[in-house]
Amino acid sequence: MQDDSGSTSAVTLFAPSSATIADIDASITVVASILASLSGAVLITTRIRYKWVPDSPVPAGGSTPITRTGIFFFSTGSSTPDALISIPAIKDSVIETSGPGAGVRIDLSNADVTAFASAVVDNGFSNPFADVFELLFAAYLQSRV
Amino acid sequence: MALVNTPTGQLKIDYRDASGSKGSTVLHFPYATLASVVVTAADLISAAMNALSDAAIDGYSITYVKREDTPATPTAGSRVEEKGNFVWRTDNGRSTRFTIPAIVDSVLNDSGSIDKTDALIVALVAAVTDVDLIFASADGSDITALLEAYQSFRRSTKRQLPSDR
Repeated sequence: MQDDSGSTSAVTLFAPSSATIADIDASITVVASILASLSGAVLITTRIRYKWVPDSPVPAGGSTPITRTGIFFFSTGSSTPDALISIPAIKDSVIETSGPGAGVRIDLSNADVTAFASAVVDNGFSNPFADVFELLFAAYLQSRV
Repeated sequence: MALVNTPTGQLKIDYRDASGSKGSTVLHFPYATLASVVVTAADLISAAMNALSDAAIDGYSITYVKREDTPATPTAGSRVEEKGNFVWRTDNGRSTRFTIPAIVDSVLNDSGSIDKTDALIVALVAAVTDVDLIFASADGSDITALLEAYQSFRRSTKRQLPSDR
């Protein structure tokens, strides 16, 4: 919600995680209609968030810092924008060790990389404009401090 | 005036490295994708990412956003720091709360408490406790009754201070 000064704030309500987007949306609509009379601020955005956490914390698998990031570029077709997915603390084992991309380029033929690319493409992930990913075409190492 | 969804929802996977530093991966999916489908995909892709990253996966969240295409005009002088606090009884005997920013003065008593007999508050209570609505406490217990309601003020953040000061 946004007030007369332009400042924003939120009303946070909880819903069972088993509820569908449609069910939550319907309840938001009812409450939002009441909030419109109860607040001098106005509704600008609604956000529904489902959250999952492991039942017990998992230790990190190695000493690779979170800033050592793998950047994976996916195409969405010839006339729609490409997009990237970043993976922090990328394993050294997927970085090329020879050739012009040694130490920087991620090996697209690595079995773990191809499994990841298949999981992305086969499950309908997309760029922010809903153009669905078709192919992983490049990947390299980047330091994100 | 209408709430319009963004083209995509967002899956955010959280990581933690051996030093405790945190990072994340963000993926998008077409907005019409059911949450249950995204959950299945998130489990699959988390496993694939585990094989690529030395960091541990701390969990993930799935977010769907809608934005008002033509927002109304806020009431003159309204400030989000002025909160209406609503504390609710839940079915498991605990309590939960939410706040309404820029609460209107017309529902306030002189003491700063909120008039629970005001028609707007009665409507809010009916909506929140109505069995047809799905709101609950953070532990999933159903909200059953309004326990307390009062006005309070939050400290303004630096970003909330007037830009022409």
